[in-house]
Amino acid sequence: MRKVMLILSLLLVLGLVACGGGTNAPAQPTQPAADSGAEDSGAAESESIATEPVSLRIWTHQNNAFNAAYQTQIDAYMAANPNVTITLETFDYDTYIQTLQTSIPAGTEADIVQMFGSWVCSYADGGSLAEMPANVISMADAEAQIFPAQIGGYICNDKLYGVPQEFNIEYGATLVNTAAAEEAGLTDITSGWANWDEFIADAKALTVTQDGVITRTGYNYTAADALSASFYSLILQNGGQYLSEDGTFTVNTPEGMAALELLKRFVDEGIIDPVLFNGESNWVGESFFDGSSAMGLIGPWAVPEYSGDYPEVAAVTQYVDLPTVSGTQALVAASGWGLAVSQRSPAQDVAWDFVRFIALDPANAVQWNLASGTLPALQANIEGAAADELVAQFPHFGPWLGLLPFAQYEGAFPDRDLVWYEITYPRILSFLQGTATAEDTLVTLEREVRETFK
Amino acid sequence: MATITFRPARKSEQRLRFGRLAVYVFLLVGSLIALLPFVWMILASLKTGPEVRQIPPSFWPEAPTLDNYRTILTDPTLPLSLFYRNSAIIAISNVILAVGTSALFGYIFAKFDFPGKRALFWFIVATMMIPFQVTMIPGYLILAKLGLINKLTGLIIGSAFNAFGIFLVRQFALSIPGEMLDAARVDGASEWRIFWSIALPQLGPALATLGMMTFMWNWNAYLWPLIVLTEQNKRTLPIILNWYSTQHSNQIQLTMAASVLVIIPILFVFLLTQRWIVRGMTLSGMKG
Amino acid sequence: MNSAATQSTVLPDAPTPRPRFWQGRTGAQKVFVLSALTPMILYVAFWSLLPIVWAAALAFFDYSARRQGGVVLGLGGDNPFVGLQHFRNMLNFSPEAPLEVRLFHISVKTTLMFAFLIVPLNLMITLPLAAMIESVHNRLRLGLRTIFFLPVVTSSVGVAIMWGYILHPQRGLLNAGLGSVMGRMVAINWTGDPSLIIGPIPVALIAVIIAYLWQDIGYNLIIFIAALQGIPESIRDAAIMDGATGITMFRHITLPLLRPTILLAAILTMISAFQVFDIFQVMTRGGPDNQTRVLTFDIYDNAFRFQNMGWAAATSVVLFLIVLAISLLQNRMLRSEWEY
Repeated sequence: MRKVMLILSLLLVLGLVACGGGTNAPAQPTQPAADSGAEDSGAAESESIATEPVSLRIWTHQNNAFNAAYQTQIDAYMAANPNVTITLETFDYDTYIQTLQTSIPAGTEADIVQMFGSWVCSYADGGSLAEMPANVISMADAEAQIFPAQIGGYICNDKLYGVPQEFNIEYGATLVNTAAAEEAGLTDITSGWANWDEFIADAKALTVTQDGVITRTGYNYTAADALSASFYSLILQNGGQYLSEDGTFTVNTPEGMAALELLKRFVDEGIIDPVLFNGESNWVGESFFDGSSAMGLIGPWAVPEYSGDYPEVAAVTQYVDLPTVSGTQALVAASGWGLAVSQRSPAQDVAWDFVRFIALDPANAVQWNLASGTLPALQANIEGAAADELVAQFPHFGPWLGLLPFAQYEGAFPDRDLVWYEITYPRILSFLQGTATAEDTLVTLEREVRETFK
Repeated sequence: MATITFRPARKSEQRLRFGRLAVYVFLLVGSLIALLPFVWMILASLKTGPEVRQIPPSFWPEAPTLDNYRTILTDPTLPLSLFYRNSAIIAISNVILAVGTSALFGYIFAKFDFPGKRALFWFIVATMMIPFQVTMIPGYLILAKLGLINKLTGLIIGSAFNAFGIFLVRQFALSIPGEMLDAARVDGASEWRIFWSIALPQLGPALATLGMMTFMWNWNAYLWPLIVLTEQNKRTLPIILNWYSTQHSNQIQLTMAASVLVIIPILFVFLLTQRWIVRGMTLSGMKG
Repeated sequence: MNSAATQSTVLPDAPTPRPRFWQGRTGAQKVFVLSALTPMILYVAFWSLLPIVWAAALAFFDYSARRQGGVVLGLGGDNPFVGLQHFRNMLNFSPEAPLEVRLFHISVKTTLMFAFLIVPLNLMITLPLAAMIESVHNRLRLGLRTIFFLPVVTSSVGVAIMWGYILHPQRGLLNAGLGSVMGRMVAINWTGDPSLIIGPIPVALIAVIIAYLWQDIGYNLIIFIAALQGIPESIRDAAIMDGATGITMFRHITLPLLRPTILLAAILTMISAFQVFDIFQVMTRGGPDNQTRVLTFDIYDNAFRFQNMGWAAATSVVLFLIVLAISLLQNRMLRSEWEY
């Protein structure tokens, strides 16, 4: 009996592989232009694929709001395509990175994998990811429809390997606990600051100290993402460049020094103690929402993530644009979270069809953004009804929508996470904690990041 | 040995009594320190979120509540029973494998001679000298080639060879009288039968010890399962515990309740079986 | 492949029984041994010998599982042979050395510091404690032994989480206790402040040492209690007749008699200290500023986080050599001890 089952399932797999091969043929009837309605295209696709049962797995990192958003779309897709079963498997962030790194060489990854844009090329270059079929979206269409900073990470050697679903930006506006501000007498805090002096004055007023120990920091910007994004954005705002056209990384410059000096000023003014508040202890996400940070630098994805656990603070949370350096607005943004398809998936065509359904159909894409609380990667969704709907549901998006046009892709680092989290963050944190000088920090940072390009 | 000289026996009774008192006080303080982390964990798991967050913290919960346990047991992202099951499958399978193979080979090493025995025995002992970190990389690559990453089997399949177990059983089996085996042979019993019905019963205490120790090691193992099991639903309790605590870094009351649920059951198992574990460690001079 | 990753030493062997010859065995016995051993040898070759050989080979390649590489074990091709390059890199002590090399140097230093601190601290606690426990009433003795042994069977992840909470800068018990003694707020980040250093020893490392000691002392305690019970009554009685009490007895009778056990325990403790991973990973993640980065953590990071497995294998060989050197030293010392 068991043997029969084995043979049957083998035949099934072989059949699926054969189908997958078939749909790559140019005679594929699905038209990208016919992408008007999700249900239509889904139905058309399922007809062409045959109605044998297909099961797909999707891997994502653990984020309650994201995963609820995925599940909603998965359910909708499965309702439209009853032969398709999609299961969502999730991992916490650190584990997820490790899982991708170990599973992809081992060949045990899911059919569809959630990717952060800046990781895509390292997997695509190894031949593990499937190239986007032109009948799902052409390169030209993708570049026209998606923000350049977002699609950038998904293009490797002029080939497209996936689709971003959200605009990931960590710097530009700060979370403000308006209730805390009101208590401190700062009633007009949401109207913003003209310059850093004003900002620092307010942050100082929001800081609570007991026996010389900061129990509530005025401005928590020392987590890994926040610190790296601040540093590189401030270099741009000072008129510098950290990554040249030919890929040379340089931060040991007057602009780099100016950025460091501003970051150090918050510490010197007693707004934050970088030993008690950093990426490891009192991480900005939890710290802002549990009330131990009055302002916190973190991207808009954090608001839905923590609203459930801390409804009181979430209700009084608002984003306010940070001041700029001498009026120059420039922000670095990472590519966003999105989806890619495994080269090994036996049902690549169905997988891509689902990716189109969830990420390229503007109506579904904005639903996903609404459910996950993320900024859209599709340019179409940043204006008109979609934008109104986003801001209506997430008032905290208001400031960000205005900032997106100023965002630049953070640059093509061979190993972005290494640069961000293992070099930039610990180096600058050590400087803020007073265990390294500004000069040494810039020299070491520059040398260590350059090593990653070898 | 060095010559030992003592002052003449003129110790006053009082001083002796004071010494004994000091010993008891010291032991009392020591055991309080040993228990304190457990107590602090349990107390925190009974506090509310705001109480845990207050600075400075309270020691006794102001209004003890079981809400944290309720939250954890109903958290859809934390199907604890599944993780208990994973841990149990791995630990029990490994106990069966380790006990079975160690019994057989420990017995053979103790009671039989064959060409290459010394070399093989020294190889077995030598594998215990090699830090796990050396073999974990190729071990991982082997499992990857076999397609066993992310499978509970991957944590079981390589465990049938337990150098520690073979060594432990051998030490015990050396004391099985050869005459007993020879008598059975004369009676016409097959070698497997002799192993099964004569040697095994003699090895009972050693195998119980080995079984309990293998269970503990596997139940608490962290690094190897972390490498092999990458999917959330396949993971074991220690990995899940660490995951949960980083996810809720500022909601310590939840983390502590989760820790209680993971740690306390195994402590009870230990209390019931500590005789064997302690004896095994004492006799073998080995640690996990 | 045993996840328990046992590490240990051979106890003095009972005198080997007079060799009986293979030739003297009956056919049935030969069949039994062969049929049991053959699968075992094949199994061991695959799951034990192969990983060892493979690890040694990896150390000479620039290997990453991300790349396809050659036919044999994925070595060669995109994973080129680099000879002694990894080991030569390890000897690059310039401050300009690549990050991974500097982290390796830090890791070796921290690992040695950790192991050489753990051993004396462990013995300073366990020996007197064992003697005291041994001196009390029988039933109490069992209870105490159980209490001190509970942490040994607690998962190290749990231990790290519990101690992390005790040492938490704002919510921890330690700072709260210090605060109430000093009458002011105390918020020392014991595991996260890189400027807290006592001499050459970072406070964060001390924090990990305390947590590890707390978990680990139960084991040596058991060994010493067993050894103390093995001291013949006659020797004790003689000493008591001579008027020896408490501390005198401990110093002049107990310690010398326990010497071999102490030595063995010291070396076992040190060897296992070289291989601690869990507590570091959970409590400090190598931080702050890499002050608690140990070799095991470095190997794991390079192999599974940065997929730099060739380099990781080379550093694991170094760990092995350190452990081997200590094991050999141990055998020498133990041998001379027994000849005594």
